[in-house]
Amino acid sequence: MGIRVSNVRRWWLAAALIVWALALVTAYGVLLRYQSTSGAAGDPPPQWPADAPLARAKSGKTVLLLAHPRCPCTRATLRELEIVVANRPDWDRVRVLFFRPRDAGEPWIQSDIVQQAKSMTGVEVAWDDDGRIAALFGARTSGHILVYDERGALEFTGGVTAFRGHEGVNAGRDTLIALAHGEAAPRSRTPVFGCPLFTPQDAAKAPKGEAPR
Amino acid sequence: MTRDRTPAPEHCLPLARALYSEHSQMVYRQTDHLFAWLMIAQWLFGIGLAVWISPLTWKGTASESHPHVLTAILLGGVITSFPVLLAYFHPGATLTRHVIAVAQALTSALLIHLTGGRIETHFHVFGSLAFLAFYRDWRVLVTASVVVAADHLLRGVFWPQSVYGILDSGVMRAIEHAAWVVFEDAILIVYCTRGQAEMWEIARRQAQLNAAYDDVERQVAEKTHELTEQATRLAENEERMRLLVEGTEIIVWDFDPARNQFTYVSPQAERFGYPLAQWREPGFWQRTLHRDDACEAIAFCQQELENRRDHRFQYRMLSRSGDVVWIDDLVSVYQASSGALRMRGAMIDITDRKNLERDLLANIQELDLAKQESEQASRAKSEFLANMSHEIRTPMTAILGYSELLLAEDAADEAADSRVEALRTIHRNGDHLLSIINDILDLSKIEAGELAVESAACSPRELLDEIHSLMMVRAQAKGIAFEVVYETAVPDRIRTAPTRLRQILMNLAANAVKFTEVGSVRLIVRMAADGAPRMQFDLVDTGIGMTLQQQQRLFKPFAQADASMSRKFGGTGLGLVISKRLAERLGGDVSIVDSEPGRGSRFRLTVDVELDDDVTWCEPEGRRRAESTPTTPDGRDGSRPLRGCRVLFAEDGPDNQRLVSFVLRKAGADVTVVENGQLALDQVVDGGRFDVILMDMQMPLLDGYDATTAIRATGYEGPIIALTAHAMRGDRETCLAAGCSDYSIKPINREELIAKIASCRPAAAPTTAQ
Repeated sequence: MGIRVSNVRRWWLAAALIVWALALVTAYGVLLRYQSTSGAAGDPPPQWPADAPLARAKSGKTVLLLAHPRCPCTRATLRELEIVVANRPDWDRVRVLFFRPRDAGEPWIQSDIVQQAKSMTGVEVAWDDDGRIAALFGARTSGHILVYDERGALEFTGGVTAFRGHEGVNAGRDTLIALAHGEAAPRSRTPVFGCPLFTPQDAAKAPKGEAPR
Repeated sequence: MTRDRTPAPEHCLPLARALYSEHSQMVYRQTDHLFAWLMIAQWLFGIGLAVWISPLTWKGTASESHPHVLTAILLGGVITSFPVLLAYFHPGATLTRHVIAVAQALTSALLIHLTGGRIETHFHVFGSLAFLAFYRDWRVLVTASVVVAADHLLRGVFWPQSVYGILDSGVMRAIEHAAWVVFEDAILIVYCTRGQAEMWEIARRQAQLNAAYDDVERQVAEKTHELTEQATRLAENEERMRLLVEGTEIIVWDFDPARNQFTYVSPQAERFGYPLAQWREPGFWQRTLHRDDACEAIAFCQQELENRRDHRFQYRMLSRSGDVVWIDDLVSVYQASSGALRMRGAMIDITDRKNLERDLLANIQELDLAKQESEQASRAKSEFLANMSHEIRTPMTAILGYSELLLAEDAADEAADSRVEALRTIHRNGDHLLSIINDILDLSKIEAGELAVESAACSPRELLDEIHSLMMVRAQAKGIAFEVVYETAVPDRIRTAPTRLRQILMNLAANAVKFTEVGSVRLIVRMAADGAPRMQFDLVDTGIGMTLQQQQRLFKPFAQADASMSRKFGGTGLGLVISKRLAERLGGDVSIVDSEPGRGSRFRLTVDVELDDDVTWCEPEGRRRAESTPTTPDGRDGSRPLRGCRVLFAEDGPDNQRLVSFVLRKAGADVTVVENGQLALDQVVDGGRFDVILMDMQMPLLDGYDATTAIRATGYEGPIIALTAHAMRGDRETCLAAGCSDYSIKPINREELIAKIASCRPAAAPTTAQ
């Protein structure tokens, strides 16, 4: 009932099928590898830096999200953070600090991610010019969240997505929610999936003495 | 398969399967193309979406294309390319739709993956399965479902977040997803099987429809062919009929009695001078009928019409010019579709035939008259010949008899030579004259068809012995040999006309002896070589022979081989003609086998004979030669063969009384002569004892016929030999019917008469009347 094919054509078709399958597996593997590869974990200070240009909450926990305003992966982080914040809107401070180079233009400042962050309830958006704050807090990857308790001790460092740009339940979010409820955090560190906040070239372009480390 | 649930007529199944296959292929191809476009659209959409959502990825202030865009282009391209190529180059193939199913499932997997397992993107799976159901091939659904299940299981184990959006999905989640897919598959498989069933039903109906259509087409073609043939035959028949009607000058017509007019008349009707329009006028037929035939013809026609009988009748019409035309009309009465009685038929102009019949009748009447006259003339001729025969034979009896008597008497020896020579001349010429008369009478009878050929049993040997004995005398007189040679066995008895056979043989033998001066004459006898009951007699002589020209003149009346023959050898030239005619009457012929001047001739007589079933054959015993001593039939003394024989001789003519009585007495007989039949009867009644009665048939007072009858009535059983000068047809039969034992013609041949009396004479004591 089907179409009859010659043996030669059959072999060609079989070969093409195999090639196609291999190409699929390869491409899919590359994609998975990319998406499952976390960014630089950074080296955040265990204590709130004294010279931090930010004020730490007097009571309660201080949550910082270091983000790149144009990193697509950060959308998922923001949505996850929104869920967390929704669980504990009375957290004292939840700040999203967007990396802003010196020559940042309007598209940078008014990106959809910035707008998304601004639209979030209980979230304070601020700019991290030239990435100095990120550097101070040892963050290298967009979506890196830091949670310091009222005493300034680092309780959590990492991301709230399981893959690049992937929303959904994940260990980072669970940890933050646990912390929001005053529960013991299941984890204190998770991988961060996102774009690099800055590059060595960016550091070179920053004013001397202010370059992110 | 589903299609087998609905049985189709056996002869429709192959076509139904073909149609089903064709329809399935069409669905497969169309769906392949749809999917090709869908996958291209999905690919482009994916690229667009990737570009829109995350065109770039950033590293600080530097940006580059986002891997998702590349993924959409490359991975999407890989996924899309092969099935699209297959759909384009290999549509309808099983591999194509299964590759499409795999690709579509992978597209769903990629979408789910890229959206981080968003539950909304799982609907792509359901949509894809529903789309794949367009194929109406449930196997495709299984393929796609297997890929989806494998993807879910694989990623659910290793990257659950990418499928379910959570890291800890659990087995139940996979089972739940699989259950939904199976649920949809079940629905879609039912849809597919129903779709296949519907396709099969459509194919089956289409096949039946096609079969019915083909059947109708075939029937239409057959009917059309038949109709065409019928139309052709009809046209041919019409053409033949037209040619026939026009060629034979038959007038075909159709008549409406209600309107009393012809509704159709073929164009030949114009031959009577009336235009066709006039023929169709009411009352035309009645008006043109001949006055003498009109009433009868109209009444007859009306009567036959009322009785609805086809009929045929003849009558006369008048042509426009007033000529009488005879018509033979063949009429058929029929009922028209309107129910009215109509007539149609064919008029044949038989005027010429009628005229011929009239002329013929007149000719017949003339012929009858001529025939009567001819018959009367023939009768007159026969009577004349009979009278002439009687009148000539009677005196010839006396002339020949007395000349023979005088020559036989011893006194002749003492008479002067001139007187003896005169007597011999008288006897020879008388004999010749008698021979001429006999030949003329025979030929006359033959040509008048009055020659009677009897059929009687006889012995060929006796017949040939008789010929031999008669010819032997003549041969010896001429000093030549005469012999009868039997080449084959001959039957002891045959059935033929012995008198005529004897006559032919005698004629041929006499001719042979006559024309042979030295040497011999042989009569060779044999049965036909082909086994047929046919005898052959060859007369071989060493005589003068004949040239070819002479042979050609033979068998013609009054024509001898040479005019000088007649002068030299005598004869009328009628003998061979008569012999040939007689032989033909006997179922045979007389022909010249061979003849050469100076060397002799061979004549052959062939006659058909009848053989009895119990016939015995006489083996040839050599030959009879003329040198052998002749014997009398009864072996008595040759000089007085009738010694002691008492003969009653009834004869009114005194010359014949004296002549015959003298001859018989000289042969030793005791002769009693009476003048008429009455006296002969009286002699017998009075107790006269006679061995033989010799009875003249023409006598006064009581003729020979009545006298013989009366004598037989007295109980006399001895031989009565009729003696008559009448040699015409029926004389012999009349004599035998009257009671005679034998028959002899005047003038008497002395030897023959004596031999006949001797053969009839009883061997025992003479018979007496009561």
